[in-house]
Amino acid sequence: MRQVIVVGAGAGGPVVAKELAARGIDVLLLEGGTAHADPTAEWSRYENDANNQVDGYLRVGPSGRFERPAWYRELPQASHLWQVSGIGGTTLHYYANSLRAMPGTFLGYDGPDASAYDTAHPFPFTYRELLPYYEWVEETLPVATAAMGTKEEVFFRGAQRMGLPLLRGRDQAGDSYRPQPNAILQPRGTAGRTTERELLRFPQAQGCTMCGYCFQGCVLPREAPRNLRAKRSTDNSYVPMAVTADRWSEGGRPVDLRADSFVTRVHTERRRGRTVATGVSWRDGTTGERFREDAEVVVLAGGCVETPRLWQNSELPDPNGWVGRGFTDHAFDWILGVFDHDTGSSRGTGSSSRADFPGRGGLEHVGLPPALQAFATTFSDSGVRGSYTNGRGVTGAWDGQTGRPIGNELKEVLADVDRLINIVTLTDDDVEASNRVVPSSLPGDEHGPIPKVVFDKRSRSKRTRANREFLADRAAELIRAAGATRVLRLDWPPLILHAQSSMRMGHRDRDSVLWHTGESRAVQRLYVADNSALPNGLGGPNPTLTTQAIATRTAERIAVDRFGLDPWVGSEAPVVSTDPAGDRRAPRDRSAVSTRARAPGAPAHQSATRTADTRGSSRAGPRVRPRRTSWHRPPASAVLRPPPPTASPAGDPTAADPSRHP
Amino acid sequence: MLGAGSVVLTAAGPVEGVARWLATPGGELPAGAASSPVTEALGLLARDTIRGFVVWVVPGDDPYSRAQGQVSPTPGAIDARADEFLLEGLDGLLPFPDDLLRPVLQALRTGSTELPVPALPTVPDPLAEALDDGLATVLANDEAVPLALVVATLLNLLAVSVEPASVAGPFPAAPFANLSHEAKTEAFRRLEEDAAGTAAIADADLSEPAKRSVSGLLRLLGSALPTFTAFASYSEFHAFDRTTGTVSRRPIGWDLSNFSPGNQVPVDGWDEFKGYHRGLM
Repeated sequence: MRQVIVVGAGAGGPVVAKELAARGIDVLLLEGGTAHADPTAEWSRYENDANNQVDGYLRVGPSGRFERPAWYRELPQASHLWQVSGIGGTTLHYYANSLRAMPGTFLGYDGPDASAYDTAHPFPFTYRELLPYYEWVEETLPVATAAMGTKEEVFFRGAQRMGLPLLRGRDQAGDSYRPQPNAILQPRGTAGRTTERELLRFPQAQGCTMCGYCFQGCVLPREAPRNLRAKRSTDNSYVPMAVTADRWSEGGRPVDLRADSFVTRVHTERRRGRTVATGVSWRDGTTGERFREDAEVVVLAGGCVETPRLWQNSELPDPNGWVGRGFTDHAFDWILGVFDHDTGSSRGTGSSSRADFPGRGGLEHVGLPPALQAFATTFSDSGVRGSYTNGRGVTGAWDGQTGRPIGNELKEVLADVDRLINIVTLTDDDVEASNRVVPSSLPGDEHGPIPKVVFDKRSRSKRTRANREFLADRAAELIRAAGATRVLRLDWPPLILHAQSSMRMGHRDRDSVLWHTGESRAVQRLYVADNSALPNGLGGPNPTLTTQAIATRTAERIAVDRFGLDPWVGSEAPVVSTDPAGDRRAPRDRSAVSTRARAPGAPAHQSATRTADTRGSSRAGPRVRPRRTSWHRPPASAVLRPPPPTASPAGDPTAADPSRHP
Repeated sequence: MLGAGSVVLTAAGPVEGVARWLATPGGELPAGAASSPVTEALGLLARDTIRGFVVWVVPGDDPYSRAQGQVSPTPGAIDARADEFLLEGLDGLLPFPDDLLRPVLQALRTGSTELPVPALPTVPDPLAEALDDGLATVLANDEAVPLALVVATLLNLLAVSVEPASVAGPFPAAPFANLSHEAKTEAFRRLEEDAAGTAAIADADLSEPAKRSVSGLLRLLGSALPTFTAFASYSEFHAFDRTTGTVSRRPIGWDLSNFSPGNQVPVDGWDEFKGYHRGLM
């Protein structure tokens, strides 16, 4: 029996695990994919070796990428679903852009542009209420203004020539451009100032070395402790904190982390007329053994596709039919400029500059190495440029009709990857019930029926389509203003990479799955803390920071509502994830560890039970300890930090909410 | 003993024969068809067709590029082994069952291509028989048809619909590879626009989970095939040794795109730091 079981170690799950572990709560964190225990040795950073959907190290599949097949998910349309499994999840390939949501997407927003947003599906609380949680995560990761390289100079030149003002704060206010707020340690020492490999080792080099391989996972600077690697993917930030919680938090308790543990069923029982979560079953991906463990609280954090799939495969209640529905993806599009001079497109971070248009969405500047650049330049819903349009062929501020270049035209466009500028449009897209996850009719895998992800791009709402066109025009204008000699628009099919809101929290029960606390409306003690819990597409900003802020808020609500603890966001200061105590190689002094009392309901420890090899079986088999994930084992010693000082309150996290939790 | 598909195959050519066999549920399978010539024949069909496809996306200076009339002085998809990437990827990632693939082919055959089967030129019987036997071997006691073979068959059916004479040419098992670059574009247009649209008439009104599964697969292929080809052509795939995690040479795509000049391995950093825009930190 655990106090809390968290399912999924991607962007959101480790946040919940870390926050609860810091309060002394017994947390089991289960990840279906591989451990990525030694990425310096395992990750080559070559594009195909990383991203190949069959056997790349960032594929969706179990450990043993050359021995065991990948997990297939059905896509019944032109599209691409870019999931990543393993500890870190999609933060392994994310660009660490850490944006706050548009204030207009929150309940209670009364700005002059209030009608410009998806007013039917707002956050079920105010922007002000989420601010302390944003600040908490921003300090923990930490988030910093991105440094500038060659390509950023080009982008900023275009934005300025368009007449856009520079946004200096973190809260979005009006059309503007800015350097990205990134969860990346900024360049220090020799980082960003040399190409000499021998000079780019930690501690001589610290922070981002501007290598250009963000999408293949961050392992730099070489020889840096894991929690001091530049990009703050959760494997470099929240996960190290979670598994060392006893070292940096007084009374903290390290999370029990297990990779290759794919949860196949959530168990429930009826209590006083209500359905209540009681635990989970999972399958060990390396041995095929199945386990079951009970918990007082279960938190789902497998992502926008896997969480509804688990819900459906567990046959959990879905009284309003919104499980899996309302999926938003920012309706990406890709605009590409060709320049007659160096743009440095493949060098530096994946994305360090952007422009935003509240009520419409945003433009994200993207730099890529060549294979991903080729992928992006041929992904189209508009056929072949100059030959056929596939029913699209849109014209605008770009050259010619939308479509993919092919043959020698493609080779010409890609002749110099550092003479390109790419912009992806992040559309403020509507929550629509028809975009959804359903069980597929294709054969299931070892975890049960597979998910089918349905996105009907051409039937998106009028507002979504209008916003996408608006942004494509602005992107083409910006690129041309920056000096491009040629501008292409690809008109991408859905590239489902910013995935949001398929298990959305909402202010009304008829079209939401979760209360504002992150707890299910239909199943008590079952919470969701990944991107799927987001109520909408945030108005366009990249979703990870908001997911992590919401996950922090959800963790706090679990601690308060289920374990009787006091809230801490707004009354304490967070420990930054770069703290030396978060480095598992650091020395330790156990005599300094506090013996602060555990939270109420002290756990019965280590009681996972192997079950008979039947899916979803509730029969308990002989007791067998499931494998621990090796990289989390704490060393013999560590330094304990003093308790964090009290911070000035930045908001009232317990403010009254219009959607009252029962 | 030959299966039901063989009659069609020997009469109308391997392309139509393969398609009909795949589209026939529960056909009687021949026994003991596995043989080296058979495997080679099927491999030839898939390989030549996929090679004809990848040079459509990234041409080079090779027989397949020359056959389509669009070549390039710099290396292309064949040099980057994008054909192998596609063959492996299709079979490895997309394990579609017969039950889904057969309707795909049926939709294509009856809906959009309107193949004039009697008018099709024939091909040498030994090749047709080898393909037939090989196909039976593939299907025997197997739940999943190799998608690469299905994709090759789709492309060839479309090729013949665009240009019936394409069954004759330098690549007798792969009409698609015999097309000009412009004709390949038309064939692919028929996959993206016509075939998917036709299939959607049949499956768009079905209820979930069957809704759009067949037309969706065609649309997925329409977007994925050029994209995966381009990705492979500009990646390190052709030079990579996965046992060591290293490359044997500088990737072709790096030269094609002037990426990371002078380097063969990913750099650890660039001297790109230019400060903070307008002092904003």
